[in-house]
Amino acid sequence: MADPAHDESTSAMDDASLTRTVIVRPGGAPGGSAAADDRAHYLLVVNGAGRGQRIELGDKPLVVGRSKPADLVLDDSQVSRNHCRLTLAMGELFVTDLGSSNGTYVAGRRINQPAFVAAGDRIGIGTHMLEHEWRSRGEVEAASAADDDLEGAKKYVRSLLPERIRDGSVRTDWVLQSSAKLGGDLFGYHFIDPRTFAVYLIDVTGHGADAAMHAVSVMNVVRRASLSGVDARDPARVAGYLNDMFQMDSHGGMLLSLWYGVYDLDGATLSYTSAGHHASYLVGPGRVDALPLGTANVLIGMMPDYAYRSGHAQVPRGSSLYVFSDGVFEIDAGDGREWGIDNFLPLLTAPARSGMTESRRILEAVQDATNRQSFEDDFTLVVATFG
Amino acid sequence: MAISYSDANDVRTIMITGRLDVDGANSVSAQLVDLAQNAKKGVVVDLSTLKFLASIGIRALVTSAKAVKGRGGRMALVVDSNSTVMMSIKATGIDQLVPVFGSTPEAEKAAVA
Repeated sequence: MADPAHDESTSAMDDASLTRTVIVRPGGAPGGSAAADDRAHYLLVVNGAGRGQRIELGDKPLVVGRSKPADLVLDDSQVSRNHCRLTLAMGELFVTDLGSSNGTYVAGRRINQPAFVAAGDRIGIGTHMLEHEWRSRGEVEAASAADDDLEGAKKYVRSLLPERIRDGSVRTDWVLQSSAKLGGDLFGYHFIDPRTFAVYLIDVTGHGADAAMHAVSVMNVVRRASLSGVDARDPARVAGYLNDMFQMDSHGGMLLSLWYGVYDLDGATLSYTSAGHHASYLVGPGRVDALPLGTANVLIGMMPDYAYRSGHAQVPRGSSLYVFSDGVFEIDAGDGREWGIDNFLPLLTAPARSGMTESRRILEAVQDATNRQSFEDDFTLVVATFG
Repeated sequence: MAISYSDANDVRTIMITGRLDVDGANSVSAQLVDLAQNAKKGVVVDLSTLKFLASIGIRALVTSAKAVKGRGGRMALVVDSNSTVMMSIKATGIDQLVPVFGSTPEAEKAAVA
């Protein structure tokens, strides 16, 4: 198929400055290689209400504005009614500001004449960002379908997360920031009976909707363990039960790590098991040190008939338990610098901040330390405080 | 990140270097399983210069170990004892499924034993 952008684009050529700018063209011109045959120009709405929306650009110029009759309407008070026009000419994308109040930006620079927009460049319009993509149609269709699946899985995972408990003898707060690819993190907690509280975190190896689905089915089993005749107060038994049920050979090669803890309010004791999972940490009211609560057990689904072990700890009044996935400390901080557990642990005993939950405080501290806002893996942290 | 291998006597030594992260891990993991599955008897997976082991890599190691065992072979790992990779190997309990050594000769010996 001929590149449609090459035809009928002369209407956009009346602006003389366009022809001058066309010469500035990075490698990989449309139609220049076999791989480019099916490519088309797209605008992806990166943020705001229409986030994720992708528009294919055709021969007709596209006007962006705050209201109709603009072709692309952005509900944004910083956007003018007729803000800018996007035009394909000679197979390249150009943007022209239409006298907007707040201007149009390409790759961070305000434009004062029609400007060339390279593939990958972002166009700033009001508080919105639009990204120029030049990709094959098949690839875009596949990406859209996959994004839909992931978004659906993400929403479903979020809908299963428990309410924060703000009052009482056990209080909780948490953050779960899903990675773009959606890791297999999931957690939960509940009272097994009025004097026994269970908290658990599951991390399925791998990424994507299949990992999330597996995490959901495992969590449903954990939640209902007592109904199946398993003593939910015994962490080792719960792990063994899951291991019997979810062997990788019969579950699409899926493996998972689990941390499962049970707090007995009367005895002020915590029983726990970590199955292929790093330790959780208990910080006393004096915030002096963080006590690791872990047992050297294997991943769930890896070895049939494995005998899981539990550990036990006394819990001083006012202690906080931090349960988290490896996504909170296995972070590539850039420049080949790995940010690891040794960097993370000191954050647990750092002073609390008033008006801020512990999970939020730590998330922000990790973001500051690694210079990242979002992470490659799910960032999951649950904090339970025992009063 | 790269994967390479060499065959000598009855052992295939597979070497993974760099950072086995989310983006690169899928293809390397598939190659690892394939190389381990179709090797001769013993397999050594050398992770001593690997910087980071993502969870998909953990899955590939377990799948490889099971495949090698399934055809009657042995697998052994080479891991630097002070690395983050060793931490992942221990936390996941892979060291209870596959023997782990600090040097290639030791691992090769275990893989043909």
